[in-house]
Amino acid sequence: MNLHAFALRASFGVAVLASPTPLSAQLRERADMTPLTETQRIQHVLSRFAFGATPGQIEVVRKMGLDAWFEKQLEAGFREPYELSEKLRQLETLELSSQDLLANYNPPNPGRRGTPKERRDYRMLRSLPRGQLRDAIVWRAALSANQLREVMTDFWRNHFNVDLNKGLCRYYAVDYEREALRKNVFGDFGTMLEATAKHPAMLVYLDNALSRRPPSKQDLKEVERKTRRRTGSRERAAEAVNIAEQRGLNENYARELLELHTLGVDNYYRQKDVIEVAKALTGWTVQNNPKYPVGFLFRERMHVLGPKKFLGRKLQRDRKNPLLEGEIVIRRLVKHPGTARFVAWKLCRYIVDDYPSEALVKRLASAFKKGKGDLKTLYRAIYKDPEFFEPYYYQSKFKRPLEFVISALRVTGAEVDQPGMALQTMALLQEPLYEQEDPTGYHDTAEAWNDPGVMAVRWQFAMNLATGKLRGIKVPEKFYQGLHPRIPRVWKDQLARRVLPAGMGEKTSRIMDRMMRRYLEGKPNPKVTELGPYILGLLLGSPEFQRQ
Amino acid sequence: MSSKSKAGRRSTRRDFLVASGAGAAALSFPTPLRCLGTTHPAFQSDGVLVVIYLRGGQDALNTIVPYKDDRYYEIRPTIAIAPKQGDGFEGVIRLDEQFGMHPAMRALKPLWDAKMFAPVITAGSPHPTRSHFDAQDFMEYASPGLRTARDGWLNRYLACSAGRRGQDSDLRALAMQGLLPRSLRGKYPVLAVPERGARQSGRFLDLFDDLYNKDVDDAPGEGMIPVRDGKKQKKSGKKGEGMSLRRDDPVVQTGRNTIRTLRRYQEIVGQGGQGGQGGQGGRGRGRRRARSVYPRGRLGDRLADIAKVIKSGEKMEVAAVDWNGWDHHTGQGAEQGRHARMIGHVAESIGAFIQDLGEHSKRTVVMTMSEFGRTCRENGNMGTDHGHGGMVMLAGGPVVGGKVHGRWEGLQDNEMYQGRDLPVHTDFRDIMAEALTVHMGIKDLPKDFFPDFQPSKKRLGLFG
Repeated sequence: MNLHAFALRASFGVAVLASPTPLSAQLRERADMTPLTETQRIQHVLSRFAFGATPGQIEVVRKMGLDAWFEKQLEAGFREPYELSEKLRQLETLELSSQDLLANYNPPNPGRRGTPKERRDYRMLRSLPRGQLRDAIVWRAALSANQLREVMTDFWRNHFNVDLNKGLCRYYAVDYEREALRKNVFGDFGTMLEATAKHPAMLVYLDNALSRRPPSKQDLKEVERKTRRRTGSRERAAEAVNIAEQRGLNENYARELLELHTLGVDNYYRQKDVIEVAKALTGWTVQNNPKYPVGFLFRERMHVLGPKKFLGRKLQRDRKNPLLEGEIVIRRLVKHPGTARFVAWKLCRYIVDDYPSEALVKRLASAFKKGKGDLKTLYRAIYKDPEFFEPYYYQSKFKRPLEFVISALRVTGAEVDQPGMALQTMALLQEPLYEQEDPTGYHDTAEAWNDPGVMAVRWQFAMNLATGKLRGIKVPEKFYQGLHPRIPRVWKDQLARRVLPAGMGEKTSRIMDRMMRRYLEGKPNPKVTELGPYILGLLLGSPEFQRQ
Repeated sequence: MSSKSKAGRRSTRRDFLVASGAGAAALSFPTPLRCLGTTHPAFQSDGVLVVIYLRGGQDALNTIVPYKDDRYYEIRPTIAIAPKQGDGFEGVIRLDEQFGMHPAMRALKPLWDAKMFAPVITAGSPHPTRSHFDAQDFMEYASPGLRTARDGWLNRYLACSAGRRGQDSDLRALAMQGLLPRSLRGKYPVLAVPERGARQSGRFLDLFDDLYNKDVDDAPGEGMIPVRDGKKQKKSGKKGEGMSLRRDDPVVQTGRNTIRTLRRYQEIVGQGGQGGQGGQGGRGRGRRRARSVYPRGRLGDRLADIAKVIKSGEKMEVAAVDWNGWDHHTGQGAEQGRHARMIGHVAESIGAFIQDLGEHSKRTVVMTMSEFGRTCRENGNMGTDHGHGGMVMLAGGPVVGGKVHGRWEGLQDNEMYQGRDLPVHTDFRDIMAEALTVHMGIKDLPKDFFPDFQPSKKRLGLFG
């Protein structure tokens, strides 16, 4: 089929960039908006607490009752589809410990001397755990019946970001996702925070594993003695001492712990506190002796001794208080009102709107405090808050690349045999999974993603998905079932109901009508398989589908 | 294949020497140089500025090496660049009596000899932060210490010089990557051309051109048609209410910008992957077609694409390219290794770019920046940590080249910043200011162009 037969070939004008005033903030001012209908409420919940609706899901939720659905999501109580468990079973590295991964998937580098095959095998083996981790994320997000768990894992994965290209993180990340994040998404914030703080992935990613007390004179003497014995050169020994002297405190993790994980930038704390926290966390490092399980290790001799103060209060570890100083810091942070506010605000921004109202954030912060950081309480508080269902938040979020790709797979009920092309699209859209170098994680606001350079990638993905050009991913034929056999004119509306349950802008609708008319003039009796995919592709690439 | 391309690289280098000596006589231009000589009378410059941002803190000391300084070899016992060739490795490429280039940068030597390449050493930001994110923001917004600035410095330039070269081109500023670098973000609309892999979507452009068309903006009806299974439903809200999904919708605006950019871009350089390597043409075919040999890799690809726009005569003024991955805390390497590979790629890309530009290189400046340099001493892991002073590299016709700019006081502890890093003797904003005034020809930089900062009156003499 000729693509161009379908197009109108309009001339393009010169557009001016609109100032990005948030639509929801403008609309919030207006009291006369119609409240959401029941279908819209379900659609709203499915696009925020899930990665979009699958075919027929809105009806299923309606029958079950939205409240009941949400409560069951909180328990992760839905049975997973057979095909998901089947797919996950193929991934042999997914459930392995870091120790096993390192033992079996980290072969010695054959280097330049290796044959091409040796080098290829080496690369393949090394990237297997990382690739399977990513495959699992796509499969679960697209197929899991317990969507809330997947959505929240996505949120916390970005909140506690690690980059698997750093050090051995490509192995540690498998365990990190499984044990530190997924296991705790319905638990409590404190447990998750501590699990990430002590996880090898985080310890390596933000360098805490290297942070130590500066060497004492005795340590330096030791270094000198050893180097002299090894090299026999006094100058080399002096230089080794010089280098050893440089080693010491690394503020990296301490700073991000306060800035990004708990209090928010420059809230309540100062540079002084960053240094004190860094000192308290010295000695938190990784056990990587291959004979024992890989994990957290407290190395007393790297720890900075002496009294420390954090947020104006002493940190003390003594007989009465056997906790490590770092653990005391973490517990104090979890209880801090600044943390409640920051986490509430960030979750609101992710779930509700780029600019959530002050009042909503306040109510959620107090829910966080009351629940002592219980995360289910927090999620439920958003769902139960009447403001969440205000019409100005409906369809107000621009989909992140991951949300766009996954929701397209879900809404079409696509069969995903190989997630590779979905992952590649996310990477082209600048969101390669687990490869964010900045500890901020991937941003969740439109400002960060709504750039002209990536829009074309979305269109390309939409068309390729619809026309079956993505390797390993297919929209099943049954997706087109029920289209009127003789009147192709109505296919657009029929498909729009399936792809855009939230509705379609009048103008988009009118343009598509025009395109349909033009097409049908040239070819009055198309088959569903001819015309259907192009309608689907346009709908997936429409401005409406970029929102949720 | 690899031996072939090596030979190719050698011969192009020779070509460049000929070309630069004989006024680019060896290169021919099929398109007339529309841009030259047609500048706005009030605005004499037709300069182009291409900024390459090396994210992560590029190590200045191993790029321009003080090879005469024993102290350098003392504090970098395992990662220093040898002064002379040794067994199995190359030594520095000597630039003058004091400094040499990293041997992987040999592609820049012809430019140095042609006085078209110059480093500015001990340059950087006066702000003490060693955080990548803050330091990058501060530099790209050109406002150290101020978190409120939200327009990149190149965007501010575009805004304050709009219309000064006649009608602003659609491609006046360009980013060859999906998301704009911070230096280009801001009020002035800037177009980002997607990565090569994404550009074949031009095929679908006609379809989405219609879908995002602006003609229907003036037609009545802004409301939503809620779609509900089965039954018909009334519209949400009255006419003109509800969510306007067209006129003000940033998504629609973005869509239109995408179409406009890609159309314009295709008009200028043809479909996506031609020329250069990668993209549709496939690696092999593309390589032969390129005028000069760009190294494989993102930076080379992006520069090759920018070169096409410049050569088209389109009035492009600024372009920005990002390149990540300079945070070498461990295993940085010396003559060979990670840093060597990356700096080599930068050098080869810039060398190929300048050569590719031919005549246009006379009006083009390439500038590299990085948020900070690294510690002078190597750390315990054969790498270096976040430092303070860094460097800027300049290449192109207008550069006063063949000279190491910037002040050098040696590597004694009392000369280092906080006893560990290179100091900052040249504020990066002075370099920016000079690039914009002398090279880009904007005579009157607005007073508040740099918040809380006035560029020094004394010229650095980087461009002439």
